[in-house]
This record gives sequence, structure tokens and C-alpha cells, in this order.
Amino acid sequence: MSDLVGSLTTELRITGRIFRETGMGLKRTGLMNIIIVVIMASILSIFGALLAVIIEMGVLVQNLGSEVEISVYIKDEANTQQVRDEIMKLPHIKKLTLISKEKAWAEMQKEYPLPDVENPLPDTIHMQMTSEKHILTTVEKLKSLPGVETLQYPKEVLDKISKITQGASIVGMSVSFILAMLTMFIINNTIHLLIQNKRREIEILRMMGVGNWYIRLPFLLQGALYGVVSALVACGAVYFAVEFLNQVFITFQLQTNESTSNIVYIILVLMGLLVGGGGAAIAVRKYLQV
Amino acid sequence: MIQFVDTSMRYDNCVALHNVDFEIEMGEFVFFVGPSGAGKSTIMKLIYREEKATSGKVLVGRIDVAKLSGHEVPKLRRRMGIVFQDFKLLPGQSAFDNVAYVLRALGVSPTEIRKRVLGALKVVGLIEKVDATPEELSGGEQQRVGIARAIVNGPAIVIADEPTGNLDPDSSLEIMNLLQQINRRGTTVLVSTHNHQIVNQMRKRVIALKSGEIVSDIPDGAYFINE
Repeated sequence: MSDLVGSLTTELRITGRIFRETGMGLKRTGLMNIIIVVIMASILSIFGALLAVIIEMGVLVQNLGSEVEISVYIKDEANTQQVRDEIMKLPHIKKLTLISKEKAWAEMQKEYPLPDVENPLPDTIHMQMTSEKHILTTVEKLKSLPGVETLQYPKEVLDKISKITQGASIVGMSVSFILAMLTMFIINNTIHLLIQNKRREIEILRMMGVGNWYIRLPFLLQGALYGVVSALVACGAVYFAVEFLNQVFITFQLQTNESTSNIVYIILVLMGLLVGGGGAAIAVRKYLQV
Repeated sequence: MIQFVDTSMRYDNCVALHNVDFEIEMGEFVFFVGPSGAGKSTIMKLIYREEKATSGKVLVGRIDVAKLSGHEVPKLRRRMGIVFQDFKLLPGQSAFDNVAYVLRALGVSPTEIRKRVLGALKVVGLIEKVDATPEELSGGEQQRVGIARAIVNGPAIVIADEPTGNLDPDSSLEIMNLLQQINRRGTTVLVSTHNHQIVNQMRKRVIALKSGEIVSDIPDGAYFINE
């Protein structure tokens, strides 16, 4: 029991020393710490803002898609009830309303002063899908139904929004990837310099039998710390960006996504850890022989 | 026991050691001598597993050091104390802190660190200079701090690679006497050196190397006397 306590106390002391060494590493890095955090926070802010836009646009497309109405015009000679039953069998239908040609004509006559002519309107089915991604496949299936004369839906609007989202995703991810590589390069070089700077200590520790992780961990922690601090700064910037986006959405009476900020915050912290810790890990692997 | 069995070591196209065989009993004091490039430092590095032999075996206490995994090497080195030619002290830090540096990294308690560091500094005769930084110490004193750091963990083997290389003759003799004193306490001491005079004076076992091969292994240090 006392052995266990003793060994635990030793491990705790070693952990404390590792954090102390990390602190000393940060102290040695001096002004460069601030430069790294500023660069990394800027990069993560850009990434976070782009990510927020992509998520919100995705939600917007989905919301718009589920509101989009497909109008199916039934052939005069077709049995409308039969066509309606056929359509009902299709998947992902959120809402379906049948407007008979008599009802449509009566409403039209109420709104417009029309001459007394024969009702030219067809029976119409208005339908909404659960998501915009099912619209195109459903449209194709509807076209193949024999009783369907023609159909209408706002194809161009959906196509444009989809293209913008896709474009933003590709540009955003490419820019973020390049910037992440740049950050990793900066951290890698900083840790390399620090390893050079601590060459003597490292050699003493190695030769006197100090564990490899004791030597490596302070560098990795320093890199990870840059990532986390930068991510937290970037989270602040993203908070304001999302607030602004939400205001724009509210102005246009569009639905906002409550969870966007949380998703972006989590991804930013993970990205920060990956880029910061990753940059340090590359330097440790390349320049620190233990 | 330290044992080299038909050990060879190559660096790219250069042969550093060629089929070397010798045994060192625990508690011995052994000098490794020879010109630069003879293979002295390579032998030291093979013992503390800084290098792996290209062929043959290096056994330390029956353990084939080449077979040790990455996390077992530090355990091997904790049984050894290494003294460097250039002292490798941390500038601006007191003699106490320099000696305590590794113990802190090993998680030793502050009370134990104090006891062991003061004990080691007493052995090397620097108890009066615990607070002095390397900049305030002479070369000989700096090497004493280096030796205190090497023995503070109670190693079974002390390895000193050219410990007097940067010292004047008087300081060199003091350092060798100190290593002899440590050896008398039962610690195996291995010293590589160019210093003929000291080797002759000490009258210890001398393994002489030339171009990576053992040219003589003399128990009483007569090598340079007869040279």
C-alpha cells in the first residue's frame, strides 16, 4: 500500500515537473508565443467563420427545400384519385394537398373578374418533401407517372443555393487546409528552435535515464496549448460572426440554427489541438532523438 | 559484469570498432586509451546504449543492451552515471540545482533530493559552493559538479568520456583522484582519456585501442610506461 502511495506521489511530482517544464518552454519562447497565437487564432477564426457559413447555408437549403412546393398537374383524361394514390406511395412526402380544378377555378373567379368560359384548369396536387435532397428524385418519379401532365418547382433557386454552398465548402476547406499547414509549419519551427535551445538539458536528461515522455511531453503540451488558446480566441470571433449571420437570417425571416455555434466551437478546439499538437509532434519526431 | 563479445561498430563506411572482446568485473577501474578515432568513445556509447553494435554483443549485468526497448534504455542509464568532457552544466543555475536537476525530473521528493545532493557535493568536496553557478566555478570545480550529478543517483557504473579533456594538469589529477575515491566505494569506473601521465600515475587497468581494435589490455597501467 505504501509502495503504491509512494509511486503515485512520484508520478504526481513528475507530472508537476512536466507542466513546469512546459511553462519554462513558454517563458523561453517569449514574444513568439503571442505571434503564434495571433496567427493561429486568425486562421482558426477564418476557418470557424467559413464553417459557420457553410453550416448555416446547409440548414437554409434544407429548410427552404422542405418548404418548396412541387405542383403536379393532372391530365384531364386521368383518374385524379388514382394518380393521388400513386403519388402517396412515394417516400419522403411531408405534405400533400389535392386541389380540384373546380375549386381552383372558383377561387380564381373570386379573385379575378374572369369571363364565363369553360374551366381550363387541371386538377392539381401540391406537395412538400421532408428535405430538399429528395426533390429531384421525386420529380423524376412523378414525371414517369402516366396521369401527370406536367409539374412545377423552383429548380433554379435550389440549384443556385446548392452551388453556393458547395463552392463555399470547397473554397473554405481549401483555404483552411492551406492556413492549417502554414500554422503547423510555424509551430514546427518554433518547437524546433526550442529543442535546439534546450539541447543541453535534453542531453543531460537522456543520459541520466529520465523517461522519454518526460522529455517529449513539454514540447507537445506547448504546441497543444497554442492550439487551445488560439481556438478559444477564435471562438470569440466566431460568436460575433454567427450572431451577425443570425441577424441577417432573422431580417430575411429565415430560420436560424441554434446549434451552429456549439458545433463550430467544438470543431475549432479539436482543430486547434490537431494543428498545435500536430505541429509540435512533427518537430519532436523529427528533431528530438531520445 | 560488462562484456563485449566480438563487438563491431560501423558508421557508414568507417569502422569504429572491429571484433572487440573484453570483460570488466563490477567494481573495477578501467582506462580506455588510444588516439582520436581509436574507438574509445564508441565503447562508452555502446555501454550506455547511445549506439547499437553493428554485430556482436554488449552485455551489462547479463543484459544484452542492444535488445532493450526504447523505454527500457532510461532504466539502464539510471544504473549509470555519465561524466562529460564539457561538463554540460546548466548556466545560471547553482551547483545544487545542477545536481538536483535530474532527480527532480525523476520525481524524487524534495527532502530526499536535498539529502542526496548535499551528500554528492560533499563527496566531490564542493559542499561550501552549493550556491555557486558554473560561471563562478573553475573548470575543475565545474567537472566536480558534473561528477556529483553523475553519482547522485547511486549508480553502479560511472562512465567518464575524456573527463579531463578541458582541464589543466592539476585539476585533471584531482578529478582522477576523485573518480578513484568513488571507485573505492564499489562503483565501477570507466574512463576514456588521452592523458598519458595520469594513466601512468594511477596504475589501473588500461585497455588500449587503435583503429577500432584492442592492441593491449594491461591490468596495472604499464601501457604508457613501456610505450
